[in-house]
Amino acid sequence: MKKGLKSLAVLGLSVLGLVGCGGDNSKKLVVGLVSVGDTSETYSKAHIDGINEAAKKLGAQVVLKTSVPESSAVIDSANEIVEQGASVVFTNSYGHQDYAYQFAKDNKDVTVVAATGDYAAISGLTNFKNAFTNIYEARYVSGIVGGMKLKELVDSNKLDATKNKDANGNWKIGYVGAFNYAEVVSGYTAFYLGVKAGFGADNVAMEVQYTDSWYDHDGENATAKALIAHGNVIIGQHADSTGAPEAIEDAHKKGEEVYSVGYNVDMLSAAPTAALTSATNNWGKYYEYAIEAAIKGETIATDWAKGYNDDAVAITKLGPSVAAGTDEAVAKAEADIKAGKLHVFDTSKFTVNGEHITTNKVDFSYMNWSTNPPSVVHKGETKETVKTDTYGSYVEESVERSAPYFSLRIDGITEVAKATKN
Amino acid sequence: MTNTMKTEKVKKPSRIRITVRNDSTFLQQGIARGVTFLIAVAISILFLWMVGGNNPFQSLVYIFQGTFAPVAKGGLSITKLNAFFKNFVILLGIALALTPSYKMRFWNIGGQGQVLIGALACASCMIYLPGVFAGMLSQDATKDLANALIILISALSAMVAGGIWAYIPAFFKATWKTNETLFTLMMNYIAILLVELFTNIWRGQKSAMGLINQSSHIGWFYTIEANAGFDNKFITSSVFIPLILVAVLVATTYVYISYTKHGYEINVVGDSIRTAKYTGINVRHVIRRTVSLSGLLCGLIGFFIVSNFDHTVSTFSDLGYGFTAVIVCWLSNFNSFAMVGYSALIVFLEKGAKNLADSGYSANLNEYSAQFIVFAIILGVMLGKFFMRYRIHYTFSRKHLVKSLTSGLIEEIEEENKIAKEVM
Repeated sequence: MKKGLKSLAVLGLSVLGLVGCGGDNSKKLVVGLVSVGDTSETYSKAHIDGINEAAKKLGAQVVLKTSVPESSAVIDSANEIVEQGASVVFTNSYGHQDYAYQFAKDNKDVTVVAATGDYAAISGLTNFKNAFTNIYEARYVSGIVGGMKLKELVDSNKLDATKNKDANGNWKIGYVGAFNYAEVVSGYTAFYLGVKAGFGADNVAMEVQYTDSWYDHDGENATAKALIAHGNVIIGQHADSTGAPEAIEDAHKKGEEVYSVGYNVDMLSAAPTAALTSATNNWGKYYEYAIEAAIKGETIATDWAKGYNDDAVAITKLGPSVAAGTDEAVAKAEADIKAGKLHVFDTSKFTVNGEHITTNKVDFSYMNWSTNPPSVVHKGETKETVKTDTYGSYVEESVERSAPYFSLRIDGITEVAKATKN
Repeated sequence: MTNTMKTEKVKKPSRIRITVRNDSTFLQQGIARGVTFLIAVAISILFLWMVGGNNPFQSLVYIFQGTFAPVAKGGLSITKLNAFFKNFVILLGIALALTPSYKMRFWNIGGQGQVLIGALACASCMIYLPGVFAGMLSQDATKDLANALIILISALSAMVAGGIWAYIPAFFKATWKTNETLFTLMMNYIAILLVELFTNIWRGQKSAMGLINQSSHIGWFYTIEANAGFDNKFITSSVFIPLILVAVLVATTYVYISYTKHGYEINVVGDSIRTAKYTGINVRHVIRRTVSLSGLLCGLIGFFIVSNFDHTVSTFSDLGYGFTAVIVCWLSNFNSFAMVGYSALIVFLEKGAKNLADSGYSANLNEYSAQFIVFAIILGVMLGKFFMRYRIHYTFSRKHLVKSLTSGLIEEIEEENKIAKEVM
């Protein structure tokens, strides 16, 4: 009995000791991440791993808040992070942005970064930032991998012209999209242009189906099944689960000629034979940049967007099914993008309503779409995004603002509203 | 012949028998509860140790810090306490709202739908009413009378919407005796899909709806304002007013159920519809009235979630508490004061589980596996209640059991055998 009491007292003391330890980090820089998911979800895992590695490298301490929904819970989490002594708070979901903004407004001494957000520059706050990667570059390169596979399949007569070709003689490819807005449009357009470049001809048509969710395993699975049933041969995705690659692998095993180009992570474990590659973000590069800036006392960029040149984007390991020569083609495209020779949205490579565009003005205002007509929340400028350099004319992306703003609907791509879930 | 057949018919008795216990003392009840609770805690610690791999007592500290956390500057985190109270208010509020229905044995599992439809009604008012009242709103709209009117209309619409959502299954139950459990469940799905539909329209060309009236704050519920002489982070937070209201609701629910004519009618209908009919109670009316009241209160909670806490609506606005509240109701035997304790316990455990997952204590424990302890402890509490009310008899020797159970029967059979022999 006495022994029991003794050990209880020891436990009590150790508990007190641990409680006391809570705030003893006065010298280290403390940063916090409010994450929409946890490590079981690929997008959030990339962020969590990224910030942890960067902090470890630079000697900062991380306060993590996972599975934070897009609600006032963001503000609560940010407050808790600051209470732990943090001076920089990151949020990683687009839907966190309004709350991050609100929090930044109320806490002027804290730098708040809304990753993938789109109105820091026009918010009027100096402590509110946005960041994004130039993922469209990696999507273009992953498209090349898909396009070369399509060419191999066509050349070896493995496809069925009645099923895999549309009425206009275009080979069919598909795309599982999350939402019908600029980030996704920019991504699938880059992918489509990449496929055409890899295929080496123009007769490719893409069908895009939306799931209305960033992460919906069953929805993505069902959408991929619908796309397979429509005869699409290469299926890309901008959604965070392995639902689509799994459906594609299943169909592949049943003898369908269909291949997956994934997102975020290597899909080879979900689709060992059908996965070609995935476009992926290296968020660690951003966290390294931002934490280093904070340690040095420098201001973090209001809009940060980097691509291949800073290793902020990449494609994952090529799968066993890729066409011969893919390695070389990928290396060349990456080198050309780095050198600035290759513009993803080269205006000579696509048409809108049958014509090559010469101008594309984008209004950078942040809108409230629930009112009729939509009202401006934060006023932004309207800017011309078609630029010309020695390598030709192109639509500039992620320069004026880190979040993608290429939202032209180009010829050859059809959008379909939300697919039915099963 | 007939006699042997008779003995064969006697079923093999189970070694375990459960009987109702009416004689347990307060001490016995306390022991039953305490022991099962401690066992549940022990199992949780064992689980954390097995899965987490690190010192399990340290994990208890993290769980504790989910609500009571020290901050870098010293003292306890007000933010964490406020976040705890936010969930607590919503959970307790929904449990209280459902109480009249459950007391009447109307198994309303539609709390989620009733809250969500109230939340949706409130959000619609916040979006569309500023256009209607445009002429009456100034630049600093939060101080305008029109804004108060918008808030009032939002609250009323939310209550009406929640009330209607509950009235529909109640009407069907009262009129055609349809199954209310399935009906209210289906109403949940309809509400979820409606919220999904409208948020999808309102988000427009963005991927998330974001805050409603982000810059004007129109329709945002009031908080007590901080000023130069007064800045208490608890009182000026958005949980303070709802906490007071929910405290009032605890008392009124208790009085309503225990001391009013309505409460009496609810009790009688719950006990026996036939008795209710004999005493002249209009059963249909009572069902419709009571369930609508539940829905109305759920709608009001939906209003507080949107107007006061989140300033937006989504399919998880109710935090999943539409269902958790049912557990709270049951655990507390529909006693509104007991609900305070159980709501606090569940939210404390949830916050603890979340904090444990975020603490980096173990890579193996994410939020979902940490939630295991929430269920383990709730199960412990439930078992405690079970042992309090029932006695379990276990017999080691089957022979002995058979004898004790069927002694009367066996004697009777033996007697009959005797008579039969004599006749032969």
